[in-house]
Amino acid sequence: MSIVLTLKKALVIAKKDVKTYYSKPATLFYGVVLPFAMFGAFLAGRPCVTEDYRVVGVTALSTFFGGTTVEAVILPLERRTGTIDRLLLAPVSLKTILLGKSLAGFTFSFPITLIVLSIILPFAGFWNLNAALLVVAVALSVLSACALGLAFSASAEDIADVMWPMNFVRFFMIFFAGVFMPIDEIYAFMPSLKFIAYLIPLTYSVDMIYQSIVGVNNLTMLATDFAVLIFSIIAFYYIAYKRFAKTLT
Amino acid sequence: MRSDVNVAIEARNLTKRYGKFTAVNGLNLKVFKGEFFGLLGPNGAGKTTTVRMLTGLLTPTEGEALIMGVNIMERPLDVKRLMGVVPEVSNIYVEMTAWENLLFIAELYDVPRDAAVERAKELLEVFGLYERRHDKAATFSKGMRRRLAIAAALIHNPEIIFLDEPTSGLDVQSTRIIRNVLRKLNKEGVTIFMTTHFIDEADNLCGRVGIINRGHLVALDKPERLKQTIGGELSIEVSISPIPSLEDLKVVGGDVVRSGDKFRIYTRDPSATLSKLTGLADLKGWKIISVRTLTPSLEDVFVKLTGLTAVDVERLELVRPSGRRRRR
Repeated sequence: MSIVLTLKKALVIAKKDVKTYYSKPATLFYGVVLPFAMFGAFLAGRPCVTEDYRVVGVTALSTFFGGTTVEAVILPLERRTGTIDRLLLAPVSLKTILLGKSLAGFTFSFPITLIVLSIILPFAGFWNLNAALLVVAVALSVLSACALGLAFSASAEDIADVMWPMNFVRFFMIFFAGVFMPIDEIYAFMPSLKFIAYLIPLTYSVDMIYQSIVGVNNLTMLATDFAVLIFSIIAFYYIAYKRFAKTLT
Repeated sequence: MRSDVNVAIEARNLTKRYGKFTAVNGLNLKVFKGEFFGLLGPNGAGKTTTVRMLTGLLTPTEGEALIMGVNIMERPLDVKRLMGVVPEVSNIYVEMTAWENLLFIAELYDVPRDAAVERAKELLEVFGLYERRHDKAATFSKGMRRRLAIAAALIHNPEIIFLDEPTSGLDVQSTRIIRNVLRKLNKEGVTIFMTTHFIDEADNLCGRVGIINRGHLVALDKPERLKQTIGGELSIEVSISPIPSLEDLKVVGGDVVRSGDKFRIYTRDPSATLSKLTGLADLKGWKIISVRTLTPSLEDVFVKLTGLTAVDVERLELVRPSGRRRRR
């Protein structure tokens, strides 16, 4: 199948998912309410980081929760209702189906994050904003989160089966990736554990978003962010594909 | 690998194992172009697993499935364009309207927009859903959802249709519509592969049937020829007033089964059995209300080959109340 046809089919699936699953309570709760609630709690608490870092934190949270949540809702629901068979029986490859699911997550989380930013930035200040880089950072972060959500939900038949383990991993990642405070401060009590942060793709999302908002200050790190996020998208997508394919045997 | 040009569907040593359990065991089967084929079997016999392997939803442990001579695992996208599949569960998107469902599936099959609109309209009319086309499928009854699922499988004009238990649990209206549509499609040359556990449905619709039991294909032929294979076993259906006990009737010989207010007496010599029965009725003071001699039915073949008893067949609802036996 040509790339154009693959993309066309993926978009058809994504469009259907948008129509079908965006209004599901689980999508709205985990994808919209929860990140905003966390941000609210974050703002209401005692400020322990600078304002720019708080903007970075909420942006990363929005990309991460939105992207992972939509995938965690869509695939188990499709499997439970048997509608996934509709897609598998059509002349569409499994890779295209998963791409379509990723795009559905992307079209959910990407605009929400941009909306959040467009509300916050005028109040918080624009610092040395690099808008183009910010859009790329948000896009890559959302795609990485979508692929992670797919990898988790690839073989699940129930939303709860995905949400509980995924929430565990998500909160672990959020804490250790430096979403709430810079990783130097998180690991100040035990610097030897800092390597954990560098194993988490979210760390690179946070850094890329940070540099795009406050100004590029480390090109090497920025290039690393870009490479790691691309790698994480491919790796999570590959895991999702393998796990899904296993359910067909 | 190519197979005969007239073969639409072929299973070659098709086997599916789950650990030590074998769901389908070395199935060999050819369904010819334009044929209406029925795969009969009790629940858990391996019907759905067979369909899932033939349609590429499940990878066989051994063997291969060929559609129009092409191995579905090797060229799945090409083969899937030729097929329309209606799984056991009506897997339509209930959040979408009937119209949206059909156009979405049409897009997946690359049906041009104008043709898809025309075909969707035609199918919704045929299945009696046109007036409800803008209603979400969530508001549909089970029968309407089933009809919509079948319409969705037909949106791209497939050459082959697989249906897994298409009328199971449906109302009379939906069942009639579906059966009529399937007959019409088959007349137009569409190859139909249908699984069912309704024996009368297979008998009435299918040109050839296979009976599968515990993963093995135990019979494969035309319904009438299958009935002949079990030979001279005939039966007498009799209604008596007052209704006697089974024990009372057993003295006439043969197996006796009660079915509602009637009894069926299986015998190789209906004439002699009937004489004994009338004699017994005189002796006991019974009034014989009706008597019919019945030829072997597909149900009898099914019972014999699957090892189920006639009582099991009724208990498992393998026959519909209206579709019992063919009268001689």
